Amino acid sequence: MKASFVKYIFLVNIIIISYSCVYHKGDQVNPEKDCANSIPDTVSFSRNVLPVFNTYCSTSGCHSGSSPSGNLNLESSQAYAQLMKRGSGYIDTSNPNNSVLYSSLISQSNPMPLNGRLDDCTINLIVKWMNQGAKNN
Amino acid sequence: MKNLFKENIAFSVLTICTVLYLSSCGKKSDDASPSTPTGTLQFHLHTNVDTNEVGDFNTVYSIPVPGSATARRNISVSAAELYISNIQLVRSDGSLYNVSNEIVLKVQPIEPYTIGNVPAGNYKSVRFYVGLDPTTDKRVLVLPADSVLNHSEMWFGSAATNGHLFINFQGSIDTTTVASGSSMTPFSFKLGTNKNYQPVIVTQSFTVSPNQTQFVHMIVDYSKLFTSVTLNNANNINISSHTDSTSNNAIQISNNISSMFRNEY
Repeated sequence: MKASFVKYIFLVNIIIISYSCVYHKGDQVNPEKDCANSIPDTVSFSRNVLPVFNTYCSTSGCHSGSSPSGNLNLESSQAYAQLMKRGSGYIDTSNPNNSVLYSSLISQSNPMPLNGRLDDCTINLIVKWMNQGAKNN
Repeated sequence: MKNLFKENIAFSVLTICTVLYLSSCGKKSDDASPSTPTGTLQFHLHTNVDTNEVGDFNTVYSIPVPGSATARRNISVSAAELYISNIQLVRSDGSLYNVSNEIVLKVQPIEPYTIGNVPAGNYKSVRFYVGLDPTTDKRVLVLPADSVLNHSEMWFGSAATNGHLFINFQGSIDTTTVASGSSMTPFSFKLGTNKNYQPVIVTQSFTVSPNQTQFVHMIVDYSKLFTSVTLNNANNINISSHTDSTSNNAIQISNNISSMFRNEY
């Protein structure tokens, strides 16, 4: 009886340990993710990208107003000029993955937006816009 | 006896199943490679005077007047460059990673600077020097045209072998005691020599992920160089030669270098 009790305690411990096992998926954006329905063939800054900034970035106290976070104002009237400021590195059309914008969107330690990472399709949308030359279209 | 035997068999089967289940657990993705995974680290550096980002040279900005809650002192900038070298990353466990041989010449219009491929992981701060170590400062070599050391505006005199400016900060500042704005006087802080080789530590937690680019975002606030400098003495705001750089005035200014750098966040 005592031996059985010890065995079952041992078994319960193993089960508890097994539940503590964690699988880290990593934080890579999956470029293969099926975003066909959400990303147009030609990405428009005004129709597709700007609404993302308006919803998640140029909110009060963040990238808006006279003293925007990081001195980067992403309100509709200023976003394009600010992102394309020469030498800023926010946009990189030759290697979008090297841009400050993309790095911020996927950063583990300082992610933007602060209240939660954008879904992969939205991030892929912005990358596609950069790949297409980051036009003010 | 027979029951005990069955019980032992059942227990053994359960244990084997549990062990198999455990062994099917996935491993962390960064353990998958036998070699240390790396990511690209870049510095993203803003050029500021106080909270004003220097957009164009010779634009007039204002900076706080020490001891006053409201007074502001006008300043304009015509040059803002500095060298960053001997970069070290401090891991979250306190150990150091040395970034070998990377020297950054931070100039006003450019914000991103590639530091290099560094081991993936969690870091809690960066350390570096503003300036160049004595060997690099006066290296007698033919410098490649694209070398960050081959910028004549960052030399004392006409050759790199005379030594480099570690900081080249020039412009005009209101030198009136009450900051009335009536006397904009040119200033020149050309600091170099080993006496002004200053360490900087910036605390910023960041994670370098494998095969990704991570930026460390910092603001370089040149207005801090004026801390404790008496402005209405022309000698205090004109440090222009190799000899000037070894003066007490110059050393007082360069002692402010460590406070120039702060987190963007």
